[in-house]
Amino acid sequence: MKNWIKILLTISSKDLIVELKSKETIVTITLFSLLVVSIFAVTSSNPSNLSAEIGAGIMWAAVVFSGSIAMSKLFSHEEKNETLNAILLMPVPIELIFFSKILSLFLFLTISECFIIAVFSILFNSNPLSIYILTAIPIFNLGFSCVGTFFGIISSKSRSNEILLTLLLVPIIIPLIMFATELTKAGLLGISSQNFNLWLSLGILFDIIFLVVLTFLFGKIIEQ
Amino acid sequence: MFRNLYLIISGAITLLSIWMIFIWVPTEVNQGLVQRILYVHVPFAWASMVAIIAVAITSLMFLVTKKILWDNLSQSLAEVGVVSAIVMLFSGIVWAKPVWGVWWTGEAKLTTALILFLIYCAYLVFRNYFPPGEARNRIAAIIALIGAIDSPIIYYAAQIWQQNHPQAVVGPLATQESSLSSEMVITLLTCVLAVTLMFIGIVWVQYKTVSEKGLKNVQIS
Repeated sequence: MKNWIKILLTISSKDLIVELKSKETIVTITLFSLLVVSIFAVTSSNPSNLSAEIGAGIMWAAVVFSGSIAMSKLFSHEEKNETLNAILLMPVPIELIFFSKILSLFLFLTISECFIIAVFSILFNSNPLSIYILTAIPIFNLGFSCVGTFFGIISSKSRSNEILLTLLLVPIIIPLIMFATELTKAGLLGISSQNFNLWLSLGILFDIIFLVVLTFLFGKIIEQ
Repeated sequence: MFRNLYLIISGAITLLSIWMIFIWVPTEVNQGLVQRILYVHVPFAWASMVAIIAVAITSLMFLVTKKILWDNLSQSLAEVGVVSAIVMLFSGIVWAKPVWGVWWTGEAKLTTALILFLIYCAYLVFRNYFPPGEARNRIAAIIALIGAIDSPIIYYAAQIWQQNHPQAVVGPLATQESSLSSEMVITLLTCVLAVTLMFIGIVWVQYKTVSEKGLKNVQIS
């Protein structure tokens, strides 16, 4: 078990070191999301009056699309440089490689979202520090990273990989987007969320189901 | 011989259902003429849902048996199923505006149908963008299975969403219940039969085309 954690952290740290040098993924996610949020801020006559429902939807739509662009760039680099093939030759369980990718993406998304939520709160005059938003972020990021890694590796081997990843990823994670939007809306309004327990159970259920199923199926998409 | 007989029977039932929709069936009291759209909407909704389940089953069979016929069948079912879904969605929104007063609501069934339609569009786009071969067929089957696993989660999420967002339908018939007379039930069932026969026929033709294309590619390579 200790060995597995060590291997997991070693493979993830490779991605982190590459990211620290290039800063490509985090910058892509952050800047693109900020652009989307800014468009809505400048085109709204009074951003402070924007309804929480629309605001929450804008924020998570920005995160989803910028995240999928960043993921497609990340995996297409790996495919070009054949780094994924090199990692797959390592004598480690293939599931650990999958988990390490998920961990790296989870961290990149979380860091980016801290900036995005801060700017969003300034532009739209809302309160970012809500237990609902803080709950939504890790659960959303885990599911998004898991499904994104799976489809990212698939789409990296095809043409038009950016559009293919987005087309595959977004419909599958719709329940997660609804979960995050609903909790963010409650957080922005500063009220208690209706059906919080139901939404929380949905988010956790989504993450568990897809983590198990995609880990099982990961070997099938990798086999030559 | 069988093909001609199939064409004659399905053609006759289709003509019969058209006659029933436009001439025989009485006009519904609450919704009026617009209710007749449902005789098209419901059969195509049925066909698209059957296609989705069938794609998941044939994909699983391909993964288990690795026989190309299952993959060809998956592709054919997905292509015809997506067209059925487009007819379902379009006829649904045309019906909804005069009856509910809105083109679209956040109702769980509608949301689930739309998302499943998008998943199967993505499935077909993947098949076109990924280099052809065994890897593409295997991954396409996995995508279809993931879509099938996700569908109950999507429905559950849409149901919770619906609880938080009560329907904003304000049309004249938004709250009135409709009941079906026996003629309407017979018309609906005839239309379902006509669309099902049409669906099976088109899937079969598409399957033959896909299989022949696959064989030609093998011969050329």
